[in-house]
Amino acid sequence: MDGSAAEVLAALDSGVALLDPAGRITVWNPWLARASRIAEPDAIGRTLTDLFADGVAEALLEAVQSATAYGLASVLSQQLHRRPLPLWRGRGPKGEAMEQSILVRPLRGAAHSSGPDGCLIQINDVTTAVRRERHLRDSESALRLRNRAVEASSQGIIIVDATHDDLPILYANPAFTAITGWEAAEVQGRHPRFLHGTDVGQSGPSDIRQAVSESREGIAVLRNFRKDGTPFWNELLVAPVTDSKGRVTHYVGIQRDITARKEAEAERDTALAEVRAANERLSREKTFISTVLETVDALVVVLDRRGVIVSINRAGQLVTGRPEDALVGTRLGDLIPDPKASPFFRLDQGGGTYGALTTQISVPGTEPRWVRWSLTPLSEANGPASFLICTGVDVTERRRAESLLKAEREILELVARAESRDVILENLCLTIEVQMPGCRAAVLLLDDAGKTLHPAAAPNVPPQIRSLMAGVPIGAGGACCARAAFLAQPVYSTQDTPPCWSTPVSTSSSTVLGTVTVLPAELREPQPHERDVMERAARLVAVAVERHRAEERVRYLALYDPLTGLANRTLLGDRLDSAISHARRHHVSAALLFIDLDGFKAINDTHGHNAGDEVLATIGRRLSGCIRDCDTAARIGGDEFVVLLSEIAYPGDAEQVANKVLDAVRRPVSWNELDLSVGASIGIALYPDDADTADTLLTRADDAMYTVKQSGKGAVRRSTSLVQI
Amino acid sequence: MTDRFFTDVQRDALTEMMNLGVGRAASAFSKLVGDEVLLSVPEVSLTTVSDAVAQFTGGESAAFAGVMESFDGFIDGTAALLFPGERSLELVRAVIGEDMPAEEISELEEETLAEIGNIILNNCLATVANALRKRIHTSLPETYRATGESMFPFLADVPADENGVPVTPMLMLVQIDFSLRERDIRGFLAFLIDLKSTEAFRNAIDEYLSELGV
Repeated sequence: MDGSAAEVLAALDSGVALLDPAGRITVWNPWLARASRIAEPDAIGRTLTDLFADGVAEALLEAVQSATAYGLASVLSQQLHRRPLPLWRGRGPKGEAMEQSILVRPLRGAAHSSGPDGCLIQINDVTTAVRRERHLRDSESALRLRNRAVEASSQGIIIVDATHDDLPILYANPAFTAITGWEAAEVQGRHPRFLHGTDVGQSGPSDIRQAVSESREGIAVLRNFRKDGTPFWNELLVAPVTDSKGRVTHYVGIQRDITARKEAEAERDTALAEVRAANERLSREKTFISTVLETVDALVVVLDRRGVIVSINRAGQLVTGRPEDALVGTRLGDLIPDPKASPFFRLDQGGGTYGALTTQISVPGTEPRWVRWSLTPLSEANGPASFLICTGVDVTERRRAESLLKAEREILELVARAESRDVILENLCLTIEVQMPGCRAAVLLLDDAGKTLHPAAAPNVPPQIRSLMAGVPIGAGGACCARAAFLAQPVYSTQDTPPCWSTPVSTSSSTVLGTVTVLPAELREPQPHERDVMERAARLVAVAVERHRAEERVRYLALYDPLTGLANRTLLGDRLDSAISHARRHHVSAALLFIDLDGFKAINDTHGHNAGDEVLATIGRRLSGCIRDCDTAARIGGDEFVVLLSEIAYPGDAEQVANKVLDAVRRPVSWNELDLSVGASIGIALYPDDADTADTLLTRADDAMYTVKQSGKGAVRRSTSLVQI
Repeated sequence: MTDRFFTDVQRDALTEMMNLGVGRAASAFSKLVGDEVLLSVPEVSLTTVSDAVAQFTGGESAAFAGVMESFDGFIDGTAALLFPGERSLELVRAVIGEDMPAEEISELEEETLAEIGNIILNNCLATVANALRKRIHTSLPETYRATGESMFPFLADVPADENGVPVTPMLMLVQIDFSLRERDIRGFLAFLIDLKSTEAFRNAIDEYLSELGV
């Protein structure tokens, strides 16, 4: 090898070795010596196997063989062989293992010779290239991965140039095309706002602008338009991309077509709102109807075909006195005492067609109520009636009021017909007992002194109780009726035995006349309607008693002298007739005393009529005191009196009475601190001795009195004989 | 059937030798990649460059890439491995076991492609030379890329005769199917043999056949 060839070999940046046909090294350039750490002198004359033993790749040995034996050139590429020889990069004992690419070339001895050739091995250090490629490949594959992700994404992705005012689109992925219908080529270079179509003024874009101006991601939901003009809801996320100096170079827009979601949401919201509205409407109506049903006074009962209660409102529960759960499932007919009424409430027995009827409803623990029903069959969808709506009105009070009114009218008719007081009061008691079943009624009246009560009517009160009622003194601490009369207010006692309710009977001028007293069957407070009945009865009693008293008064005025309380001429006539009849029947005598006052006119003239009236009233009382109960004293004129002695044993008895009367008349009468004195002239006529008729008896007595007057007054004289005092 | 270059018998012998060479290449490959590589030769045809150009440009893919090396010895010429489109890169990736889509071939990959072509072409040429007991030299492989029309002229300077008419060299086209790592890649081996070598080639084959007693 000449010098220049050696210089070339030394200068080469690759390893060069020459091998003779036997594979022995003849040239080992400095690059190779450096990389193999085997100096040229140590390499020359030896084979590769000598130098590297197992370190040499078989492929290299084969390539050498191919070259030397067959003249074939070979390439040992780095990728398939990596390091066919143990070579090192850099200096130092070891350094970095060298990635190699080896060329093996036959060296022809003589042209077209068929003998073995030598060969040249050229080794290139491709470590750097490997590293570069690996790095390139890594970044490329990362990029490819990213690109693939972008391409494969189901979200539309566009990249715009942020450095340009028009924000031109640089890239759009296939999903963008799928969503918008715009091909990437069609949108490149355009401002992304074209997607907004004519729909300007959405707040979304400004939200995003605000976000990206602060270098953060912005997200907004926009109404965009596809290429075919149809709108879609675009959930757009815009992320700024910055370079290494922090400047925004691109915006990446990631769009998602949420139209389906929005529509589903909108549909769901609409559906929800409709359901809610319907529910509210329904609930309002239901509430309204149920409020109405629960607040109306009318009973509303829904029955099924068999008359079984399906529902009953509050009024129904109140009237029947039973809670709903005790009623639902039972037959309404079972609550009605009249068994004939039951079929009217059963559709399956032809009921529900009569429209209206009135029945009683039994109520536990108290008397039945009267209900007036309206029946309406209810059918669903034109089918046969499946329910019967029974609307009822509680007419109990009305019926009571009507019957009470009727009873009152009857009582008042009795009063008007001047029926006797006791008959009226008995009728009243019976009426009370009709109105208040189970109770017994009595009317107690105060005596004339107003101190004690006495039963005036008590037709159904047991005798022993009736006797307890007789003579009860009124007072705050007494029996029920005594208290009511004393306090002039109703007393409903539940402590008395038997229990007793009393309502005072008061006149129009608030004078208590007595009580209406009711004995209930059991210990309880009276119901309002019962109190009402008693109060009305008490008013009727007052009317009847007052009416009775007025009649008594009229009768009194007709038969008695109001000034003296003595019988008048009419009554005297009656009594005289009776006395004569009696005397005639029993063959006894009767006497008539004709009394005329002496000096009375002087008193009247001197002291006035009041003094005269007082004298007359006093003398009247004194006359009454002089005779027996069976006798009659009467005033028949201004100062004329008559005394009828209905039965006398002896004629002298009449004279005895006449003298007693004379004495009584003569006793002075006190009047305004004056003693007024009158006398009397008395004529006597006897039946049957002096006369046998009333008229003649009176005439004879009058005549006898006149004789006394004529003969000096102040004496008694019998018509047949004159008795001188 | 006798074509303008070879008799049937000659062509059969050639086909057999190609199959043998490709078989050796396959075994060398399998050893190299540590995985089974199957190579098969369904068809060997002898044609002219102009006919081949017409055939290839009429096909779907106009671009070809491959590896070529020249040879000299008892025959002179150029041997090439051809792939349509990006199949060459795909083959490289399959050989080195990378699963990446074909894009651009890198420097190292080009070298690998060269080695792959080198192995196949060397084996084929060596097998033929061996069989015919002739000696042949090969050059280092080079990768190249060409469109259909310029493909074959690129491989060799097509000479002209005394009258300036292009002398059409003989072209032996061998279809070759690669099957490795679940991939099937079809390529071609093209042996462009100088016209002046044709006679020597034919003689060598005849010698070979007569030795076999055919």
